[in-house]
Order: sequence, then C-alpha cells, then structure tokens
Amino acid sequence: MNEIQTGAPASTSDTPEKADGAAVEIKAASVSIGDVNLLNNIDIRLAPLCVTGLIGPNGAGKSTLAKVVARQLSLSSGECRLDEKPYDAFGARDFARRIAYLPQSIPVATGLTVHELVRTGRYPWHGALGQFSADDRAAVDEALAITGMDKLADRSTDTLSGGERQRCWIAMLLAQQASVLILDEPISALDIRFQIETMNLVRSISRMRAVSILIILHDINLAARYCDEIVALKEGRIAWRGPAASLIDPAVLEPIYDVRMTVHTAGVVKLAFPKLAD
Amino acid sequence: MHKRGMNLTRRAVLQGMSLPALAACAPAPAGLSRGGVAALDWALAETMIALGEPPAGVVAAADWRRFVVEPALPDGVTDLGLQQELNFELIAALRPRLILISPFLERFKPKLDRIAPSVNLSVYEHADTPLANRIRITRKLASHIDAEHAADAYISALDALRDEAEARLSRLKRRPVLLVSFIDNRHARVYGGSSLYADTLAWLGLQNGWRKPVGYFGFATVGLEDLATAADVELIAVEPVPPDISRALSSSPLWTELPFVKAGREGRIPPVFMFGALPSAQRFAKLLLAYLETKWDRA
Amino acid sequence: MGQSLKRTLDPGLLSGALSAAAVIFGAILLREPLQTSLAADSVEEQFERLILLHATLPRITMAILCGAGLALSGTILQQVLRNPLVAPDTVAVNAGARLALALAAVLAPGLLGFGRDLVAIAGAAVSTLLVLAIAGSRRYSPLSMILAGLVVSLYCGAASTVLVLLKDRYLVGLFIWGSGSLSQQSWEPAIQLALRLLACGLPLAMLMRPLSVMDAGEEAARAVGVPVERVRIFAVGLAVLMAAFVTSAVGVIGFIGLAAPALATLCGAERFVARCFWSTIFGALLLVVTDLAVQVTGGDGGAFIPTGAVTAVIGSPLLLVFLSRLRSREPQLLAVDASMPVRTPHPARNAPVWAFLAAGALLCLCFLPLIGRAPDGSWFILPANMFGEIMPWRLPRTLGAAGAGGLLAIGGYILQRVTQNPMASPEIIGVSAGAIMGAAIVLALGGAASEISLGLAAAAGSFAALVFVLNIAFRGPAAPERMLLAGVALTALVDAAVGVFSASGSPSAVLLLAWMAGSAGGVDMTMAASACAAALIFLCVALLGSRWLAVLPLGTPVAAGVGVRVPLALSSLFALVAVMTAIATPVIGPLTFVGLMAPHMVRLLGVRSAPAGLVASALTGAALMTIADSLARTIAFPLQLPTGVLASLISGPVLLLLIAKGRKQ
Repeated sequence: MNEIQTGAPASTSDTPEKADGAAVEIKAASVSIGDVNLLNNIDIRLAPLCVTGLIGPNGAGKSTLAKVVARQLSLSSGECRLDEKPYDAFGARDFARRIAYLPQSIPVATGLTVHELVRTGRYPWHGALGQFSADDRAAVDEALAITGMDKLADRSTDTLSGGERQRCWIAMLLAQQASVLILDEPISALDIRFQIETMNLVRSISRMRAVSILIILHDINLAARYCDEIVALKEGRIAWRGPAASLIDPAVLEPIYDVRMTVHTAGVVKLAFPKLAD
Repeated sequence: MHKRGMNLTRRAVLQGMSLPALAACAPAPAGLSRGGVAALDWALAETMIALGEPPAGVVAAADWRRFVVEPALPDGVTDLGLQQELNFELIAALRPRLILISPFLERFKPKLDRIAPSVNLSVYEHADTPLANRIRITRKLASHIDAEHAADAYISALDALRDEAEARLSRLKRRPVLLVSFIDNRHARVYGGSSLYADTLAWLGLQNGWRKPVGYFGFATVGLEDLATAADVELIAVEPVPPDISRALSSSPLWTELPFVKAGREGRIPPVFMFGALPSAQRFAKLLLAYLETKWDRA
Repeated sequence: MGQSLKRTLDPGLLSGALSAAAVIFGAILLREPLQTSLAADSVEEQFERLILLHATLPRITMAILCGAGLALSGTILQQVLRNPLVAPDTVAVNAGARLALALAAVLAPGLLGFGRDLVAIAGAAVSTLLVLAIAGSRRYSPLSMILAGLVVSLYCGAASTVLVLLKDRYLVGLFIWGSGSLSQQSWEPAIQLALRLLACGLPLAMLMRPLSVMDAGEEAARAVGVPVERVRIFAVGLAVLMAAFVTSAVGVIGFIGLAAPALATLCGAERFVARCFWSTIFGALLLVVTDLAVQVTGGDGGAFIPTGAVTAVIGSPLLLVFLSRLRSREPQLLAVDASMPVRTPHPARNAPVWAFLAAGALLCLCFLPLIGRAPDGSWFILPANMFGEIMPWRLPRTLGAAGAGGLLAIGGYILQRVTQNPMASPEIIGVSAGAIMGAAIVLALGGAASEISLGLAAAAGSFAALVFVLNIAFRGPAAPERMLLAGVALTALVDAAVGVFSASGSPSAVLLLAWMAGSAGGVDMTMAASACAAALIFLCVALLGSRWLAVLPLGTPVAAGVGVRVPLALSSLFALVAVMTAIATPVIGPLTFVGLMAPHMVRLLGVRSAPAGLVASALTGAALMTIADSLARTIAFPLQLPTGVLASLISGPVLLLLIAKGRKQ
C-alpha cells in the first residue's frame, strides 16, 4: 500500500556532482526499537550542491532518518557510507568535519555569546590541546558574516529572537565546515519572514559552499520552492521521491498525508492546500 | 564571602596593630601552669582531681558541671575545647609534660606525641570487671603523675565506703534494682553487665533487675514496655530526664499498672558520668545509698 | 513508545501476600502472649497481658496508621508535583523536623515538654518550603526537586551534627527518633495520630476530584476550571502536615512514602483515586510487616534496631528501580531541562573579576592563617618569631582545607557544567556517601586505630561507590541524570545506616559524626600537601578536558554532532570528579557544600569560559575553605569547630541567596 511512487527519475542522476564534496549514501536502512519499526528499508543519497527536503506526516520517521544520517543513531540493519567508506571508518571528530547536524530541539538558553556558540563548531578542527588557530578564527568570522550574525557576535544567545537564534545555530554548523548539513526542522518555530530568510540562507549555503543539505520541513510549499529534491516518508518508508518541482500535485501529496489537496497557481508558483470540507 | 574575609582581616589587622605587646607574648601568658597534665578524657581528669593532682587542662570543661558534677573542676583548669575536635594550638600552648587520652583519641596520638608524651588509658577493657579495670587504670595513671600514695589511699577509702554501705544496706529490705536513663518519652537505656552503674550496684552487693543481654558499653536501648520485667524491683532513673517523660508515663496504663510503679518503687538520682572512673563510681554509690535509705524499709 | 507501565503486579494479590506475611509474623509474635494472657494468674503473665494490650497492639495499630499516612502523603505529593520521586523523605520533611527537635532539645527543652508535634511540624514546614522554593525555579522538575531535597536534608543534617558534637549528651534521643522506632506504651499516641490524620483526610477528600483531573496534566486541569495553584498549595500543605504528624509521633520512617505509591503504580493503578487507595493499603501493610519482622528477628538484647531505619535501608534503593521502570511513563524525568539552564550573567569586564578573585584568594591563603586566638581568648596576629611554634598545628589544617576546597570546587564546576543543574555537586553523587560508609565500617568494627586506616577506608568506600554509580549511570541514556539519582539513592541508604549506628549509643558513633563533620584536627602536613598537590594536578587534568566542558552543556546531540565522543567524555569527567572527591573527603569530611557554592560564585562573577571557570572555581573553593577553616579555629574559642560542617553551615544561606539572585537575572 505504501509502494514507492517514483514520480520522477532518481534524484541523483540529474544533479551535477562535484568531485570535492562528500556524498552520503544510505542503503536498506532499518531502525527498530523493540517491536516498533521506525525506519524500513530506506535508500537515500545526498549529493553536493543539492538541498534535499525531507517531508512527511508526524511519526513518519523523519527525525529518525536525520539522526541515522548524522550517525546519532545506529541502524538495526542496512548500511551508511560517506565518501564510499562505511561510517565506522570515521573517528568522531573526523566524521564531524564532514557531517554537521542541527537537532530538532536545541537549547533555548546556553549562557554563551553568539561568538562563543559559533566557536564550538570548530571543535572537530582543533589540535589536541584545542588551540584556536587562524583558520579557526577565519571560519568563525566567515560563518558569522554569511548568516549576518557578525553584528550580534557579542550578544548573549539567551537574548536573541527566535530567528536570530536559529541563524546563530546555523552559523555554528557553518563554522564546522562540514560538506554535509543535516537540519531537523530549523524553521518550524519561526514566523514567515524568518522562515523565508532561513530557507534563502540554506539554499545559498548549498550553492556557495557546494555542500549537500538534508532538511526536514513541514511546509510543503516552502519545501517545493527552496529544495532541489524531495523525499517523503510515511510510516517509516519512502512514500515518494522526486524533484521538488513535481511535489505540488494532489496525486503526489494526497497519498503522503491522507488529506484531500487542491493546488492554486499564482504566477509561476504553484501552492498546495488541503481541501476544505464542503 | 570575600567581603566577609576582608572585613575579618581588616579587623584583625587593626587589633593586631593596637596590641603589639600582647601579640608578642600571646600564646603563653602568665597564669598558665607549665609542665602540667592535659587530660583529654573526663574519666582520667576526674581521677586526677580525686588524687589531688588536678590536670592543667581538660576537654569540654564547660559541660563538666552538668554531667560529671563531682569531683568539682578546680578553678584555673584550662578548657581545651571539644574532645572530638582537639585544639592542638591550645594544647601546645599549655606546654604539658604529659597528655592523657582514651582509645577514642588514638588516631590523634602521633600528633599529640609531638607536644608531649601521651598515654592511652582505657576504662573499657573487658578483661576485668569495670571497677577492677578502673582501679587498675587509677594505679597506672597514678604512676604517671607520681601519685601512687594518693591512689592507695583513695582505693582504700573506697573499700571503706563499701564496707560502710554494706553495713547500712544490710539493715534494709533489699530488692533488685533496675537502673535506667530515659532517652525520650518512649525509650530508655537500661544498664547491665559492663556498665559502671551496674558494676557499682554489684559492688555494693545489690542485685540488678535487668537480666537480659546488653551491648558492648553495658547498656541496652529498649522501649519502655520492655521495663516490665519483674514485679519486685526498684526502678532508679539517672538524671537528666527529658521534660515530657512524666506526662508520657502517667498516661500509659502499661506504666501505671506495673506493680513497682503502683507501689511507688521508682525515682530519680542526680546525674553521674556514665563513662567515668572511680570518682564517678564513688559518687554513684553514695547517691544510690542515700536514695535507697530513704526508700527502703528497715528489715 | 510513550506507553505507560505494563501492569506487572496484581494489587489484590500483592496486598494478599503482604497480609499473609503480616499474619505469619504476627502469629509468631503474639502466640505466646495470647496463650498466657488468657490465663494470666502469675505476675509474669499479668505483665504479658499488659504488654500485649498496651504495647504490642497499639504498636501494630501505630504501624498501620503511620504506613497509611506516609503512603497517602507521598501519593498526593507525587500527584500534585507531577513527580514520581517525591515523598516526605525526598522533600526534606524529616530532615527539617529532626533539626527543629534538636534545636529545641538544646536551646529550649521546655518546648519539647509542651509539644514535640509543634516543633516537628514547624521544622518540616520550613524545610519543605525551602525545597519547593529552590525547585520552583526549575519548575519542580523531578530531578531538581530531588536534588533540592537532598541539599536541604544534608544542610539540616550538618546543623544537627554540629549540635550533636557540641551537646551530644543532650541529644541521645534524637538518634532514636531519627531512625523511627514504633515502640508504644499506651493507646493514646495512636488515638491522637488517628484523629490528626482524620482531620487532614477530610479536607483531602474534598480535594480528590480536582486532584484527579491533574492526571491529565496541569494545563488540562486549568482548562477545565480547576484552580490549580490553590489546589496545589492546599494539597501540599495537607500532605506535609500528615507526614509531619507521623514523624512527630514515631520519628523518621524512611521511604514508605516513596515505596507505597510506587507499588500502587506498578500494580497498574492508573487513576489517582485508585492510586491513593492501593498506596494507602500497601503503605500500612509494608510498615506492619517490616515492624513485625523487626520484632520477631530482633528479639531482645543490646542491639536496638529501629524500624524506620530498616524501611529506609530497604526503600532507598527503590530510587534506582525507578530509573529503569518509570522511564517511559515520565519522559521528562531524565530529559535535560534545556529551557532552564544554569544561567550566567554577562558583565563584559573580565579583567577586574580575575584581579578580584586572585587577590582575594591570595589574601585568604596568606593572611588568614596568621590570625588566631591566644589561650586567654584574645585575638592576635602571629608574629614571625612564633611561626615555628604555632604553624606546625595551623598550617596543615589550613593547607588541607584549601587543597580539598579546590578539589571539590573543580569537581562541582565540572558536574554543574555537564549536568546543567545548579544543585549538582560532588557531595551528592554518592562518592561522599561511600566514604562515610567506609569510615563507619572501620569505626563500628573496632574504633579508629589511626588516621591512615580511616582515610584508606574512606577512599575504598569512595571508589566502591564510584564504580557503583558509574555502572548505574551508563546502563541507559541520560547518564548525568542517572548518576545524580544513583548518588541520591546511595546517600539515603548510607544516611539510614549511619542512623542505626548512631542510635546504638556507642561512643564510636560520635567518632563517626566527628569525622563526618570534617574534623581538620587529624590532618598532617603530608596529607595537606598531597591535597594541595592533587588540586593543582587535577586542575591541569581538568583543563585538558575543558573543551568537552564547553560543548557538552549544549546537549548530547549537539556535542556528538561536533565530534565529541559523549560517553567517553562523560565517564572521564565523572571519574575525575569522583577521584577528586575521594581525595578531598578524608581531609575535610564528606560534607562542605563548597563544591556546590564555588561554581555558583564563579558564575555570578561572570566567568564563562570553561578553562577560566575551572581555575576560578579552584581559587574560590580554596579561598572559601580557608575562610571556613579560620572561622572554625577562632569563633567559638576555646572550642574548635569542625571545618567541613562549618563550611556547609555558612554555605547554605549564601547558596540560597546566590540561587535567588541567579533567578532574578
């Protein structure tokens, strides 16, 4: 019943691959806790310069998959590879230099300044005694500049607005200089302006830095607009995958969410809404 | 905290500057006996006083009047502070020639030995009966302070006391005696075996009303209901007693129905130091004798 | 996921089993008296009957009442505070009552004659309010509540210890009361208690319905019109009152208030009313069975075993059981409360802070040891020509205190940083409890032969506790929280054991109390120098781990995300803290609160980065202990007070101020 619907050719083929970027490949991944299967036989591939949106109803296993990709959770069966090598081949800091992860629940207050928080992103790059090198400093400054947080660098993170805080954490991820970013619902708590700002930021990062990004989103319209690829999960399986452009289609969306959908067109932009009962 | 520290410091500085003369001679001012004995255990201190050679310093002198009472602490004995938290500076300033300790202070012996030779004398050795042990300790202590003659005299006076007590008691109708101290309104310690109280009782030729086992230090902690052991006893409570004990007892049918309570065979005697030496035993014997003479009928 | 506990026990079956046990023990105990008192001719047989009627039967009744009262109190507290670990024991009801009784016994003995009840209830109310005030700043999160309860209990314990050391001859009864003996001599106390519990029960009955609604959570209850705040205040007040009545009647009965509601939950009593019902039944039965068993096995003799201590020894490990059983039901129990972290203010002036700290510490260390009192009591500053005479006595204790203070402060800083809990400190991770246990065993077995044997026993105890606590911590997720909880359980267990030892009345127990109070008298130069050296060495070791300390507070996912091997980092840091505690404890005793307070002060001074925090904590800890040691030497002259306990007595109020201040910011 939840057969994979291939609404489009496999995502990997039409995205240009860059040689220096890392690629993540998850094969036949399953995660179960006790009798409950959280993920079932998932295959995905993250490629450089590509923003992959992960959507699906609550409990579909989105966060679980993000954790698997970020090596925060180990698989019950299946395989994760990074740059053709199994995850186990990487040490903790080695791995963190390649894949950075922003969890869904981040501490609201840390007692740190913006600059101090962003600095922690440099952890995997420090030498054994943690000396802060010129490279580290440059990476922090760059991350602050890209996210526009440089003016707030000395502010306490506790006093930031929701959008600023989110950007601050993304800056920390950038300072980590990983080639793969995993973002678990980075915009769900933000108002529309900050959502757009954050998504623009995510997209430009993927282009500027040639990194691959996996981002969990709830808003299908934003996902369609800002992502390159979409993977839709349902009940621990991949329900659909394809280019973001073909997501906004009742035929695609209705089986994913089990809701009747309608699509409106505003200029070149197509927007999907749940159909109101009549 | 920092501020507090600074204030203290400043005050001390001012005081120090205003009293330079005192500061120079402070730790050994006149009036302190040199070459005296520091007795860090009350049992040993009271023995010294009884032998006419009072110690120069004794621990917890402030509580002496309440718990040892007799022999009275002479004026001029330095208070050396808590027994469990020895004031080494003060003991050192006393410049004693000898330090007397109990086994409970054994762990401080190496430190004390640096001030003066210390002698460990235990009133708790189970080879002897408590009194025999205390007589031995008294002689041993006397040998350390050159008071053997006084010890002999004291011990013979004690024998005389016993002869006199036996004579006086023999004229009375005797009963077993139950020795207790009330702990709170529901519990008491009852003395037997190796306690100073029970042994003094035996030494006077009296029978102990408590026959069940007691712990290492000669007493058992019991609920008051356990005191209902025999009908024909005389219950004597050693003070201090908790303030609410009378009310608790008078409202307990178990207590008021006890034959010896009904017959009025219960009462109190003033405090005696339970972990004391011969002077405490002597005090206990005298108090007991005086009490029983008022209570018991003539035979 | 998120499913509630599986119904593992049948309540009827369990109560049946407990009743059967009660009947068996009761039969053993009562058979003879019943037979003899039916005839009752001789004097001895009359005694038997008197004891049966006025001691044994009231005692059984008392056990039922106390067990039921404590269980109901615990159930209500748990319901109101939405916290399965709350019980009269863990919110410091008992500790406060005990301290109040001790104070009354020493300062105003007449008050006890007037009414133990009032004194105990006043003490219980004050300590409970303190716990609620402290935990309230963390929204009564379960772990915060337990830690606040433990800290207040330890503080009350420290104060009681000082009283006992100063006035032990007045306070023998306190130990027995503190270990909860059910011994009775008339029906009056039982009747009195029954009336009082009834008086509490009637208003509680009216609160039943609003309390039941809180099953669905606070917000939901408020939404359907329950005046949550008012209900909460009344219910907590009544529950504490019930526990205090029981406590003042028979003394401290440990952990029935925790165990009975737990059993009810394990039996699948989901609804509040059912939980109250079964918990009350279980509480009564548990206490009756325990008390009968104590009477049957204890028999007569010198050994006096108070029932309350037995229940505490059996009950305190329950906290550990909770770790595994209640995880799914109470997910927030083990979650790092990220919304309310340890806050640090932000003064942008770090240089003056450092100057202040360094100067203060230096001044304390160099100058305070010079201040003393002459034999006649006058204050004086040690002149240089008398160093040789006085310093051999003064220097070891001061240096030892400073070194130990530094060690504990570093440990406290690490713990607070990693757990993000302002109540975390080396005193409460169980290592100190292990040290106490080691010392207690040595003292109970044969008195203290030497300082070295005590120190070795304490160190051995510490390491045993460390292995135990780390083992528990890393058996599941949320290691820091599990470790704290394991420490709390261990501390409660050891407290009960020490209570039994003290109630025996042995003079060795006073030695143990003196050791626990942190007597600095036994410290010699070697020990002091080793403590200082250890403080320096471990400060350097901790500095090597300071990068972990910078990242771990951001939570496990973030820390792991930037490449920290979290289990390795946590176990290394915990082991480091435990080793430092084990070194410091023989020097300064198991209780100082310096590990709790120094990191707070450092944070309030605005030191934020981990390495700076470590150094500043070490300096502050050393300075604090030097101050405490100087005060201990001088304020009660000629008496010297135990340094460790004096430090905790000073720290307590200051800590409260710091927490209040931290909350305002």
